[in-house]
Amino acid sequence: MNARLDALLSHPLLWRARDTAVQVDALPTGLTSLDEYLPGGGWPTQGLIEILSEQVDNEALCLFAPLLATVFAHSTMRKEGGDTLAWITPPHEPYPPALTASGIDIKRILVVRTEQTLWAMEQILRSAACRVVLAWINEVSIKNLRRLQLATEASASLSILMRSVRYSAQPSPAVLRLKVEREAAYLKVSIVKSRGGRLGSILIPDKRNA
Amino acid sequence: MSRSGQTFDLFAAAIAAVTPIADGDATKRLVTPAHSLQSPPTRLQLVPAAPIDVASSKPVTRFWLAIHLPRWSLNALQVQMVRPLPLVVIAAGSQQQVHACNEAAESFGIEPGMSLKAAYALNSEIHALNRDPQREQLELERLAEWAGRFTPRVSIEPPDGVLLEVKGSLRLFGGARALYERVFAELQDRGIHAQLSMAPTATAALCFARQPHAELCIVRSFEELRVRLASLPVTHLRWSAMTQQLLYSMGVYTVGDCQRLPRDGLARRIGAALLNELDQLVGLVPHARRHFVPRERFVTRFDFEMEVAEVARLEYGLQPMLEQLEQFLRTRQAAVQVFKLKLYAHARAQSDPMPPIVVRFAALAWTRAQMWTVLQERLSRVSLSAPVLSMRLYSSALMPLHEGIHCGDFFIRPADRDSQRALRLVERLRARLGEQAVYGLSLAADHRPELAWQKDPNPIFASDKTTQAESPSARPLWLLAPPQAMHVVQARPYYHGLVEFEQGPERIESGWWDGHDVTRDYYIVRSVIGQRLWIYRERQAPHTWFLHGLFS
Repeated sequence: MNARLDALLSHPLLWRARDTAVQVDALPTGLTSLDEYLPGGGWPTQGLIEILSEQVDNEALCLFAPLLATVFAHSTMRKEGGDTLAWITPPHEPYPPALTASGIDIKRILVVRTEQTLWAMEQILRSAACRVVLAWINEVSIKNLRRLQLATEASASLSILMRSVRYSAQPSPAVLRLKVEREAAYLKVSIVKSRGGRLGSILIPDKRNA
Repeated sequence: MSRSGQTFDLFAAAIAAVTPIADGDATKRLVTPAHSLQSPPTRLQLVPAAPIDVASSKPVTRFWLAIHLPRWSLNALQVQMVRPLPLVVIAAGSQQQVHACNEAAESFGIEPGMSLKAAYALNSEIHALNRDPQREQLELERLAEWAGRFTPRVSIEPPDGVLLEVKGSLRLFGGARALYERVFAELQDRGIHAQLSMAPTATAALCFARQPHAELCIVRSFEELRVRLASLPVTHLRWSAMTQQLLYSMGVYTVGDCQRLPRDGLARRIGAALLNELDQLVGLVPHARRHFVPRERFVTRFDFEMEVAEVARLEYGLQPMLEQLEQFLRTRQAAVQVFKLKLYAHARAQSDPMPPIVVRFAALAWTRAQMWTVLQERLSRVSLSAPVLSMRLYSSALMPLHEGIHCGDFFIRPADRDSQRALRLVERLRARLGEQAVYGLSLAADHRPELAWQKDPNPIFASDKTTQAESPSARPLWLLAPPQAMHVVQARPYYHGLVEFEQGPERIESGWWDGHDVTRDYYIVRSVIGQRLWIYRERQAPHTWFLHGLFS
């Protein structure tokens, strides 16, 4: 009986309030103000993250530059199977000189350009070859989001979905949802949903290059 | 031979006489009087029923497993049937003769050698197929390839036999009986009707296999061989009809009868060649055989019973083809990187020949599952212009498998396995999305921004520390390809409003020698909504402004 109950409770779609107390593996975001809000004090090392921003194309990625640069240096991010970064339908060409300059290992990047983004993403997650999957997908139903979330958890990888801010009202099974907006020289990051964390918003002065 | 050696042989023979394996011929041995001439009486006292001479007590150096295929002309056609129908294969020639038939046909009393009319008279329901000797030979070669899993020394005995020299494989497969049963079971799984036998000489093994209903026929020593050969009918030697007629007229029906005749007289009547064959049969003379050398490329075909119009239905034929390919690769310890599938429509269909489907793998492929996943994705992009009647699969040149890969996961370094997994992913994605849709990134040594990087069609997914190029100054994360021309308002570039210059100019001039001349001044600017942009101005007239990159 207990075993069956445990199996049920360990289902990825089930969130229990107790989970907040559980230590979450996390990596510092590089921004102390943001770290304070996130459970475990940083980006989760696995699960589905959703970033909603006005300019899907460029703004939000800077948040992840430190993560992508250090991802393979951290032992918690190492994974049996693969340490490739997949970029699915990025809005422009990711520019390798800039990537190398910010410390990202371009040899580990796989770029996929396709109309069948969801299929490609699921295949990538299922293959367990990629540690981090970045995808620029706008239209996706709640059913497919859940499917992606399940595939992400099953392969113990980190999926980052870049979507338009229009979809912030859509319910989502993501572990973490952030809304990124630009306010003059600041980047306003609001936490829309955070499993086991607090909600709130912070302003990041836009001083960063690349 | 020393005295102790002889005793040992006698002892072994005595054991053979009581072992259950040799059981089938124990009774025969007791009644075989054929030539109880050479053995001295002392030995007869020890093992009364096993006459021994110098030739028969010599050690067995070769051990042959013969596969005789009595219904090969039928089996080779590989007819797939939903329910058992009586089938007959007709030999080519004017008088239509049944060459082989299946069990369903046999149950009506039809047998090989009968005329087709007689067969129809017995049952009008029978299906008659034409014999295809070319196909038989091809399938026989394939069978020999399959047999390569038991021993490297395989030879073909056309039209319906395969010989395996298995002396060296006995221990691996757990003895003669275990090997015999395994070969038999595998043949049955493939739906091939076969008769097997094992003997110390090749011809003897073949002859025993040709004997109908040879149940577990294993001859382990020359002494036993001699006994069993004595009662073997000469028809199984497949000598010419004339020779056989001659032997019958002399009252010679079995091999034993032949051996009882004086050698020189027999040589005069049947010829030295056949006498030599007889000597090879009993093992007096060594028998050199040409080993089967497998082909270096894989080609196979599959014919559908009826035309197939949906891509999904092709799987029915593709699975067996891939299984053959896998088998082919495994016996050669090789892998392929490309294979080609050609689809053929019926000649009636007035359509252009369908373009071949080329399947490429990012890394070497050798298992069926691996090839199937990629082929499946590739097929999802295919539409059939006409119903397919047959398919052919061609492999590219074979590549030797990397030492570490084929011996299981044990010796593979984790890093290799990871990159293997990533490569599998790449080929699956490419099969469905196309070659161009999936790529890696690499740097190039060029000052021109658009040429400072390349799409890497063969990503390796391994960290490469040597490519850490030094970027001279700030570069945007996103590059626009091609650059976007910008509006100019009040002599300043305009992007959702007038832009504010932050940094620059950075002059880049290069490439006049290769036709992609670049003379630009780059600036980093900030747009009204706060975005940082990478723009440039052509130094040549008309000094257009272009947006080339976006910072993040």
